[in-house]
Amino acid sequence: MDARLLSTLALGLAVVLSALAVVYVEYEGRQLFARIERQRRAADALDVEWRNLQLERSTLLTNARIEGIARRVLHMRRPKTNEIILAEP
Amino acid sequence: MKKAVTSRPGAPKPSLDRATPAPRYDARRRVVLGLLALAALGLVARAIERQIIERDFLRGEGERRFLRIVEMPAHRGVIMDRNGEKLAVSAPVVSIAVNPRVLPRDTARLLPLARALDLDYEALRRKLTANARRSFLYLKRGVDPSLAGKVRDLARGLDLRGIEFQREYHRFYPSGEITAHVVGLTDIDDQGIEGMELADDAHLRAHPGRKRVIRDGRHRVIEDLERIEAPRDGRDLTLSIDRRLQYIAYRELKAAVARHHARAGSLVLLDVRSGEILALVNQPSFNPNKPGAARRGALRNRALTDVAEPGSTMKPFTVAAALDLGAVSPDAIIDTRPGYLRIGRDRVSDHHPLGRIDLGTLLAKSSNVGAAKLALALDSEAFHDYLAALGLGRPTGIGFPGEVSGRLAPAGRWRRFEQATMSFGYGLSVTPLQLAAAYAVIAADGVKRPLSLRKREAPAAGRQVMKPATARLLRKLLQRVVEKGGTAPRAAIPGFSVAGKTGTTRKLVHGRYSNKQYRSLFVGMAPASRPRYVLLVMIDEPKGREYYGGAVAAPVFSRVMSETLRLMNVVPDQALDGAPRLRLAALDGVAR
Repeated sequence: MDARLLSTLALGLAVVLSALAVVYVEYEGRQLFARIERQRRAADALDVEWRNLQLERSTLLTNARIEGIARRVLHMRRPKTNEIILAEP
Repeated sequence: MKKAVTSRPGAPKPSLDRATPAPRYDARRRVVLGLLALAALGLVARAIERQIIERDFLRGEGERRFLRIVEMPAHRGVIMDRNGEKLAVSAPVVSIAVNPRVLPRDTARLLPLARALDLDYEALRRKLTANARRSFLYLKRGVDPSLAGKVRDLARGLDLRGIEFQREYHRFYPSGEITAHVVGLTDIDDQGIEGMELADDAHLRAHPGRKRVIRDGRHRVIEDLERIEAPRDGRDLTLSIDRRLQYIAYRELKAAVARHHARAGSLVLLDVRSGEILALVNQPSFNPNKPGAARRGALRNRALTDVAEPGSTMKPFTVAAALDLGAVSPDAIIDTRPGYLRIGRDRVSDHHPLGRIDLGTLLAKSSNVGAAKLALALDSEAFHDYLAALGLGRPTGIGFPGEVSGRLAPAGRWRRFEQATMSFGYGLSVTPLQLAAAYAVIAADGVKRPLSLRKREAPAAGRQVMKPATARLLRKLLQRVVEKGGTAPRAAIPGFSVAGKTGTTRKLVHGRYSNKQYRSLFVGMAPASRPRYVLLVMIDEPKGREYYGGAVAAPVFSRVMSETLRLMNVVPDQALDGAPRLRLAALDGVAR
């Protein structure tokens, strides 16, 4: 076989292979994109949850609520002056 | 006729079979070729038009079928107190809308939807029927995302079509009305419209991004092409406010306003060392989570937007001016006999004649005549400049929207009587914040520091506007106000020395001083030996038997200040009755 035919065949094979590679890479790219989108949605959902938890935390930490629980449930009170011992360094 | 033509003599006889020359269709060919050429030209022209002239438009049209620009959400910055407690948080919510043309209306499917959204089924049905021709209708806005998720599942399970879910941000204020005036409000478009939300809107604002994506036939994004604009979350803002102190201040002020059936009230707590505002509350307040329900005037941050005459709380500055400008010596005796002073046709008088008094008695007993005599001994220009340097009638520079500057008339316009009334706080108007800031000068040994509502990393540099010795003397004299025999023994705090001044001012009503409507004031600092905090309490129009500053405002001062000192771990500077002191060294070996 002469060299020209050989090189044509080789090039033709290369073209087919590269076409297959393009298809494969494109497919892989789509898969990865779908994955990153899923992760982004998950991150977004976590952010939503984080913000709502922050809100819930601040609502539960309202000073009025804490004071109410301290006084009514735990029966706490401020010490009278004669109950205070001053510790000096 | 025909015959005549064919039989023309001499003409060649046409032959039909042989030697007939081919007919020539030159003209026809040219026409056809011309038409073909024209058609080809037309094609080329059209191709050029499509390929070159209309190219962008057509490409755009094509891309519109699958390319899409989507918004990338960003949230507004969080507003925090000085310890990082959240005061304003943007959280995502979902608005649920329906397309009434598509949404099925059978009970079997609509009833579970109404139940899930906590809507009245009959009302929902009527609403859908009434809007049957529209293609967009909000069912419920600002729904919690987890509930929205349940509704989404429900809609999928029941095959309810025509339901849309839109992501929106809602601003939540966990501290509610306690910090309402300071923090402020945003409108439905997430823009600040009140308070610090407005003042620092540019800092807090979110900048949503945009990106170009490819979508498939089912509107799912399948590829990111490019970011047109990156999303930028708003930056967080840390205020100088301490939520715990703010809460105590709010609780006590609200109780006092209710107890005295007052119209309004304001309270300002300043950190002397840094110039930061630690608490700033007003009554009436409003719930920023439901701003629509606010009463008229409740949105106003009165401590900054309402001016009032300072009344007797002005006297320490008159004394300071007289001392610093060299008009009197610290041990001067002022003759206030016979308890009143004539200035032209006008008269300044004391409640009780006080006789010959020193500066301490002048402040402790709040003598108008004494203050007026000091003021009249001063050059009006110098007196004016002294008061202006203290910040009275001048903007505080905290950059709060709607803050007013008050009024201190230029000295050139003062008459002698005005100069006299100025000395005990009439004829000028200040905001509660300005007055508190002026007392902070006394507390900081004469240094005026710029105020701030934003947390400071380091104390701001101040300016000496009062001699340190004068400030220290004033603090000593002002301690007598809260002692027995002063005007405000109820401002005292066990374990701490307190310096302060009461004020009970008559309000100007229709240009005349009312003797029914008062403002009760107390401004003070603690511990008086080395002040850490300045606290101002103002109660507007207390109705009832008590209206003196020493009876209405001073108890609020005492309660808020003592809690503040305790919370901030300030060491008592005075002996506590019955409280034994224990040296820590004695605890060694016992506690461990």
